[in-house]
Amino acid sequence: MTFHESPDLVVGIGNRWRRDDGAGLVAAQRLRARLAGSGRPVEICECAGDLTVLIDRLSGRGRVFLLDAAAAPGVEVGRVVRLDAVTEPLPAAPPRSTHALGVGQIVELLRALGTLPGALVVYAVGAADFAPGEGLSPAVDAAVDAAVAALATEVGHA
Amino acid sequence: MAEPESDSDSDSAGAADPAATTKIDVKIKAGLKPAATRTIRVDYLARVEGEGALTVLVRGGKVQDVQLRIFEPPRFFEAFLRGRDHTEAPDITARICGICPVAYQMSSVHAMERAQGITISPAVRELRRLLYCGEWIESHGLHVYLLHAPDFLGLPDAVQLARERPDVVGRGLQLKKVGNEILRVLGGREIHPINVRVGGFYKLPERAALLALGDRLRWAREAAIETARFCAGLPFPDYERDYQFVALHHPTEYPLCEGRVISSDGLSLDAADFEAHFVEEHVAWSNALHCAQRLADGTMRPYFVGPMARYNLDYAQLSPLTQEVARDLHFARPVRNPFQSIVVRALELVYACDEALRIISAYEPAGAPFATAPAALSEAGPDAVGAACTEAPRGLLYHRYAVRADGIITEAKIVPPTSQNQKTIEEDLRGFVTAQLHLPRAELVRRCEQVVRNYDPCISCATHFLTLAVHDLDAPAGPAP
Repeated sequence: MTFHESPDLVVGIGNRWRRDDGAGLVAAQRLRARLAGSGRPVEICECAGDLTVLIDRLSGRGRVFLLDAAAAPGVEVGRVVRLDAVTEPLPAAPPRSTHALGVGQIVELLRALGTLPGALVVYAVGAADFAPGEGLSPAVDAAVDAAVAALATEVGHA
Repeated sequence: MAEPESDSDSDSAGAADPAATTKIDVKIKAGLKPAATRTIRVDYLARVEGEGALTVLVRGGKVQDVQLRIFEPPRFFEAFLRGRDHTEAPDITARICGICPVAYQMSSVHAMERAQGITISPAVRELRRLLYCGEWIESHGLHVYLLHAPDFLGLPDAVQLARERPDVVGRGLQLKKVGNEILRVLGGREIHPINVRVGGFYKLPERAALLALGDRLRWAREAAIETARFCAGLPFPDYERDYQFVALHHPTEYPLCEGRVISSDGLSLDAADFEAHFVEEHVAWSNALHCAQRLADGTMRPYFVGPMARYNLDYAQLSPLTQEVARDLHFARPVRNPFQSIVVRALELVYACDEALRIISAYEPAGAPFATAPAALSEAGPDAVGAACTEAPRGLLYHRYAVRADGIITEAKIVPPTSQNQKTIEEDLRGFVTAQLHLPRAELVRRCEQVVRNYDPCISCATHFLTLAVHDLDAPAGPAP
């Protein structure tokens, strides 16, 4: 397919009311501050609710980066993981929720519909505290800075 | 990533010793995430959290008990609202849900306005209905096509449906987009609208901005009719119960923001009296509250809110077009098969598009964008109290607030539709699962999920996936979990 002539898109994903789940949103904010005033345009947005709006936003884009919290056995809290979602499928999509779709399902829907971006990279920050409340745990907070630094380099703003 | 808990056993849950006890846990829980380098196995990638679980206890081939546990964000938000200014309520409560933020905004502003004696203008009243139509379109579009339809087609999820029927998924996504567009134009953005305030809106839209939605809404109305035909042709399990339906009722309008709370057994009350008839209870197996109707003799009865309740109690208020579509489909009333809720949602999609077009065509910006309280609250008097119900996509949503003279919220109570439906979901499972115990375990779990999905429950608005686990306890013929 033909990809849009568009600036890189960075999407921070999460829920700031569930502590570490806000990591993607905080990362997007910090990246925005870091890139302020620099030359090359990078579109940065935050998605804190229904992720299906990303289907339109991502379809056919040139290069997209997703920032999200992650939790799984074997993934230490505070570790930053980079996934290339175009060259290999994301880890198997989870079963359906009763209420909404997750990041994995959104990406796989894009793939099934043939509308994946030209490049789609997921930066996942290992997290553990998803209790109701605000604020990141210290290890996740530090990992967000590492993810932002890596992403800034990747979009050409080291 | 999280090791997948066993959900693929092929044993038959009911085939063991009839005296044995089988416990089936369907866990809807926190999990997450991505991770994965070449050295780390990642089984799934998804968004975080959300807790909930379903336990079905089987003994002697019969369902002994069903326990549904659902994490409820509103509990957290009730505490969070206390001490905040009353004007913050619509924006704070909108954060409870990314799928139905308008519902939380509408119930909160109506309750605040009742507490302060604020009368909204006719233009604001119509625009609130329009905003709600947008939410119904996006929420129903999502649930019908991406969450519920795969159940009836024997597919694991929307991804597989997209592979096999991209036209169907594409129609659902486009429908949803039209709903989101209404929220963007009227609410300021697609998710968590920012233009809603106590008394009205911060800014009224220009007529041209709403008229520009017309072509897409006309397409959506036709797509919704096609959706109703598609849904009516799905295979439905043969299962009916005699439910106690509860919904708002307005004499001339299909209910969205206003009306009395009525039930299928003749109850009719103002939202201010909601808590005298509907009670939240603590149950031992869950930290969430379950709601029930308190009858005159003191007994507690489960009830059913949502599209089927509205359809059965307010059919006469549907638009002529929606009624015509229902008649053409020979869709009989009352609807008592919860699996047919997907058809009702599709019919409500038709109504929401039709109603949105009516509002847009008649809209003229008039007057101030918002109304204010007629008089300041008395510092010496008691806190002002206001309660309101509106119809969220998934059912009746009750809010009550107490507000001090300086505008600070001193008490907040939120009863979401999912809390109200929990007992009914459990009873559905109790009745439905008994006849399904002969099925292989994985299929039985899938059927349980389908029953839960009939209600489109908001298990946690932060919950974007669920992980299933099946455990056998005391089942001699069953494998270990």
